[in-house]
Amino acid sequence: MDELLAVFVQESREQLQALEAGLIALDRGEHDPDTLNGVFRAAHTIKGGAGVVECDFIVEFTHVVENTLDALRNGSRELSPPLIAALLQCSDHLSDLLDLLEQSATPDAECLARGQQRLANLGNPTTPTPTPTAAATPPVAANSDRHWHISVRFGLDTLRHGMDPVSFLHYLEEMGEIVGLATIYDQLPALAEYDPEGCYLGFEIDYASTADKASIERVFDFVRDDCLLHIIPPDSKVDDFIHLIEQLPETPPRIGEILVQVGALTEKELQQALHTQSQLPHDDDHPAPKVGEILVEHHHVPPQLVEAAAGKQGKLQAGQNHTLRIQADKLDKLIDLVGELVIAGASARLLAREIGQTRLSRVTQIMSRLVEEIRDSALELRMVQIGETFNRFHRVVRDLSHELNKEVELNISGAETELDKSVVEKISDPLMHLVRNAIDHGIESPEQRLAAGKPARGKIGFNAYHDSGSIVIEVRDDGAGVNRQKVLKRAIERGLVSANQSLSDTEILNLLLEPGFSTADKVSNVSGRGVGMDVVKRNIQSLRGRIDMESVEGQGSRFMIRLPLTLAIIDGFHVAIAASTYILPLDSVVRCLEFKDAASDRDYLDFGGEALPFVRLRDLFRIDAPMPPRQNVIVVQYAGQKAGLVVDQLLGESQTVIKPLSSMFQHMRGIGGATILGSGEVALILDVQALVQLAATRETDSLSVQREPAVNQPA
Amino acid sequence: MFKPAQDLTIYHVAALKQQLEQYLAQSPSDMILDVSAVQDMDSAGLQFLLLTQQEAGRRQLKHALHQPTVAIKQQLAFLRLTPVFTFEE
Amino acid sequence: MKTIFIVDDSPTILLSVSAILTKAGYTVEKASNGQDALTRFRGGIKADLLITDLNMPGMNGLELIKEVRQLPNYRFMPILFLTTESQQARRAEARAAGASGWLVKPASADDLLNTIKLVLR
Repeated sequence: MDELLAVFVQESREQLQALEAGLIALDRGEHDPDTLNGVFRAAHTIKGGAGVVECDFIVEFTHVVENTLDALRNGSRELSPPLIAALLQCSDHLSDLLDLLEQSATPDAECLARGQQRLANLGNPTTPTPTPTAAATPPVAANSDRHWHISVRFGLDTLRHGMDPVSFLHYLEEMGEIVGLATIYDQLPALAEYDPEGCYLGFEIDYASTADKASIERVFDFVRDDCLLHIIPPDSKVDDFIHLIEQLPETPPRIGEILVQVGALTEKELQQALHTQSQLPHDDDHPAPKVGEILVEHHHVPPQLVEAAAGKQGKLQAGQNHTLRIQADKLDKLIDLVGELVIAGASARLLAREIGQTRLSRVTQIMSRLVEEIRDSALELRMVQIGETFNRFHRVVRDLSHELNKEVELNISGAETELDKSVVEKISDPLMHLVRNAIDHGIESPEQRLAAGKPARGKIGFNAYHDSGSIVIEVRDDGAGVNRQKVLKRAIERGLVSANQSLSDTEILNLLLEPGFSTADKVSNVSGRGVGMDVVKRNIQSLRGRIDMESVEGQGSRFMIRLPLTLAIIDGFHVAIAASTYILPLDSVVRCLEFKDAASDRDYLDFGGEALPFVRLRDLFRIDAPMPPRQNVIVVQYAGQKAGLVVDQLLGESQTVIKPLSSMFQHMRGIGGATILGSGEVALILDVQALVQLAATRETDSLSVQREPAVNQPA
Repeated sequence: MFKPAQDLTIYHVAALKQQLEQYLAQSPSDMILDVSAVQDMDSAGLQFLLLTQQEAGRRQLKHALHQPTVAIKQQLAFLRLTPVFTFEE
Repeated sequence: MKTIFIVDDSPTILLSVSAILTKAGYTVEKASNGQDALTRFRGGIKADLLITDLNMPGMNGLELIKEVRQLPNYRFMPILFLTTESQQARRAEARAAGASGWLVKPASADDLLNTIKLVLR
């Protein structure tokens, strides 16, 4: 896929999100014109971009969506929940179309049919599929998009100045199309007063043109001083026409009738306009209120006028200010290079020390410090706000609550909290699960809530904040909370705990996060997908994070996810086998012990009464160096499972920047990455998850696996 | 039948007004305009046509355009005035 | 075929404007001063449009416009005058004298032809 296409797809995805966010806001009743305009602009931008990359199937589809939005925007159609639902479906379809484009594919018959159906659901008056014959159609289409209204009454001397009113009309036809026209001759006097060389004509013109206002005004330059001229731009509906009606010499009903005839106003709009106009108090002491004020009260003001008046920018455009868009892979490349720079810097420093050049050492020291700063800044560049991820859930909440006949609103705070892009990408799934769970099991039905003295509409809240080097993400609901008795009963049924075990409150809640636990009385389509909360816990742990839960029965629950700000840096625990250094994530380390039965052939040891499987890393990595007099066991834990790792030496902890392994090493079992030590040496980072699983398998297989190959081992 | 002596243009409307006054002075029974010879009609000529119709209405005379030329028909159609007039062949 | 009468004391302008108009298919009549032009109008020359400069030695453009408008054959003929951006005030004067509109110098060929199209009957 070429770069232009890639940029288009990315931009369109963002626009789709904006579109969806806007629709959701509208669905919640936030009928502010900014929102509707933003939604329209999003569709418009996608269509425009699709035109540039010549993707006809997106142009055609978006064109119809845009028409609907335009009709909503100019007030000729009204928003309704079914229409919003239909628009959301179109948004989904657009997302599918973008996927196709990304794969250099085109929609198949089934996809086309689905698209047509979704467009049909919009219920546009006519749903013309624009034919993409490039040569013939564009000018017409472009013209018909912008309908101006021109109202002109020529001055009495126009003819005597050598001008012919009709020639203005012919001239207008040169730069647009006169769609509707009414020739006004109401000023024509009776024969006795008739000045045959005087001019009594006027026109009301519905004019489709791409010309701008200045160009249209210029047509009337020569007659402007003595004619009545009003040029009303496209899309400015009723209020400008009320003003026009007030300015024109004909009576309001008469001119109104003409405006309807020309196609400038609908009958309904005319009635509204005349009604409003007739209510204006017209005495000198009390000047009529400004038309705009009246219109705002009557909700007649086209959205864009209010927008213009308020001088506001569309909300959906927010976030574009002072930011520079770059591709994520370019940033990754930079961070990679910075990693190389750290290595090179470290070896330079080492070399300087070896040579014994003090001045050189000093310089390389300064350089190392600068390189570290660059590394930190580069990592910071990858930080993104979590708000975008949060916002996607408006749609999820809306759809799920509809599906389950519940009323739920999503409140978001801390949207501006930043975390590493790679973490953001991985947090969506766990959040999704928590939200599904909250709506399905947490929030009660409106009837139950009312009976419990709560508002019918439930609340789910997202919050994010930084806390000592971590980001904390909270998901809370004001639902039913956790019934401890029920949890305990289920846990006993499932054999997770024995009936006579006494558990603390926290321990009971933690049962919910255990594998194979589900408290829902009936399995629903929403969260009962055979995936329990244990998966959430495991996902969070794989991000080196943790999840905790609080719950008050009857009042709701709260999940707190604590994650490292970046996956690129870990608190590492350094160990050594022979001359090589290995690093473990510190939070996976449970305890360190001296390895006493080194001579034994067994693959497990006694750890506080438990049989703890262990792995001799020296064997796993085939290190053929002399055995040290003393070895150590590090007890590590992953997802509740423990294992021992046998190493030579324990070196202590320090922060470590993770460098991904090149693809050559990616299938190596037990290794998750690499880092550069201060000495310039490369150290491997152990993949605790894989090692724990490996130990567990060995234990169950109870095979002699001391020489198990480290390479090409299926996971 | 009133037959304009010249084309319906700004240069002739003053004369046409006089001709019309003379025609009306004879208390005609209708105001059917024989425009079969009119090759040109501009805004001033159009105003004249409209005036004759208005005047006919005031005097309750039948008004029609007799055998209008293509030039007239086109101009009236362009100005969306065709429905305003009665035509006869 | 429409005939356009141009009056300007500058041969360069006469030449360039007439070249543009001829190329666009118009018949062009030229005069380099007001008196010459008026004489030919009095002689009943066929003209559908008059374009005249305002500042000319002898009879200036304003006087020419006033005189031409008095002639029955040209009472309703469109008349454009050539002007510059800085001469806004003269526009009113010229309009009062009977001009239809103006052309701002230097006019591009497009501006010239478009304006002519607008005012020609």
